[in-house]
Amino acid sequence: MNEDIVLELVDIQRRFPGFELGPLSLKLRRGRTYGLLGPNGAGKTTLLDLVALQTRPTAGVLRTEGESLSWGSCAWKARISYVREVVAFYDELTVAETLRLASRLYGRWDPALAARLVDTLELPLDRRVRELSKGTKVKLGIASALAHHADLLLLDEPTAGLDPTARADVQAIVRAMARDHPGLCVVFSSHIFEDLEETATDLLILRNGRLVFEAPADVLSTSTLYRTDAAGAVGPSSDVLARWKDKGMEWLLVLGGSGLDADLRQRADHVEERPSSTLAALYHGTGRRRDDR
Amino acid sequence: MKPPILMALLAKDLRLHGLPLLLLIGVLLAACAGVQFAPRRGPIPGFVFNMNMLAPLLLSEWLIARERAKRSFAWLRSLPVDDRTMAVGKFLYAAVVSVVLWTTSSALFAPGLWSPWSTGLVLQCSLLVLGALLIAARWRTNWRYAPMAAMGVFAGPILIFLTLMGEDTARRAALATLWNAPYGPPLAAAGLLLIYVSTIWSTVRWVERADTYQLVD
Repeated sequence: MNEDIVLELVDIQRRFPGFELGPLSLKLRRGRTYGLLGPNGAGKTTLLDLVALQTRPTAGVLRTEGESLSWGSCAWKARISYVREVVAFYDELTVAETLRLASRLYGRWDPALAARLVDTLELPLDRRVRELSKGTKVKLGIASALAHHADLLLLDEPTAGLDPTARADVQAIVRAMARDHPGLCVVFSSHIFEDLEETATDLLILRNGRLVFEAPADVLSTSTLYRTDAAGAVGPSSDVLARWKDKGMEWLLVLGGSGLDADLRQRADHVEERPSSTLAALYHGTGRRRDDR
Repeated sequence: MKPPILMALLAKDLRLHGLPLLLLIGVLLAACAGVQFAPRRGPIPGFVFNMNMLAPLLLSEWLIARERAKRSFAWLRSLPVDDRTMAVGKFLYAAVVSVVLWTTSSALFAPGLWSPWSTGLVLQCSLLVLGALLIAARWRTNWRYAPMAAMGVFAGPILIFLTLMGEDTARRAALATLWNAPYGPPLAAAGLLLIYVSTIWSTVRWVERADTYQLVD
């Protein structure tokens, strides 16, 4: 049993009429912030719903601390916090009442920490939830997550519909949260590259219900992108992070500093590209025809 | 099921619905009083019974439809609250309101229903069944006519009973004998309570198995 792992998804799968997520395997580790990227309908929310026991898997298991999670497990729900894209607290309750309700439902609520978070996040205690902006509702969700010492925080498109200032605010909070709570694992879903470039330590790209890319963000930031007319000239290699075809060319994202990277730099048939955002290039690439890695 | 969690959920519902509920009860009691003291007095027991049918209908709409529409069930379900507690809490809240409303209104304005006491008890059990059917129907579907369908399920057997009782036949005599027997009303109350408990049990089972998206609109 690896204590570093908060949750392990083993061949998890969920089928709906016309859509299927998985089978998908993944390990979520403490102290990491996972950026979950994917177009609308890729299965991001379904994946988070599965992790939060909001949707029952068709197949596969979720494991924590060596044990399989049972459907509806309150012990698991007490260890996580899930902030949905449409944040749905009770509109009629004030912020203070919402936190009081959460404190009565979570076993390990820390009132002192909650008070500090209210202060830090500048939450207006006497305002009703219906009067709050989406950004403030997200902050309220984050406050209730941290105040009960969650091991896993799931943020489903928390920045969707926010103006740039509010978005930067949420990004800063997520960064600060990850820094101040080293045992916390965060999964941050978004389709805004900047959100994930600013916050994620690990990147996950979902397309059509499949996990098409998974790597630490620093690997991506040091990788090199090549394009070539000589499709197939580079065979399968662990140094190739991703490969796709677009506009009659083959594109290779190669592990920076690897032997293959050094080799391709010498070759005239491979041209190094310097996109403004490697993540954006990779994301669009994974939407193209993909060959082996 | 954890009592502290159940209490927290009931307190939350009271905070959310308490004031409108008090207003509703106040208006209905005032309407009863109005009928009671009207110069041309109508059939008070019937009015009280109808009023109490209306109240669970409105209450079940508040309790479930609101949480479905505003998706707050989704938040509640992401918290460490077991589904059984959440579901039972809704039924319990509706039952308490129904009992308080029925006891108050019938004792004040139609005391005859409690003499003998068994008539009042059977009617109370009927109201509990109606409330439970409405909650179950609203929980399982966002179909706008679901409460009407539940009312139909509730009203059907009553109409059949009344029709049979209305006929001057041997069947009426048999039913009257059954009702007037010492075991008649307790048997009716027990049957209704069985339907009530079955409705709660099947709804709780459904909620426990449902994906969250099925609980919200």
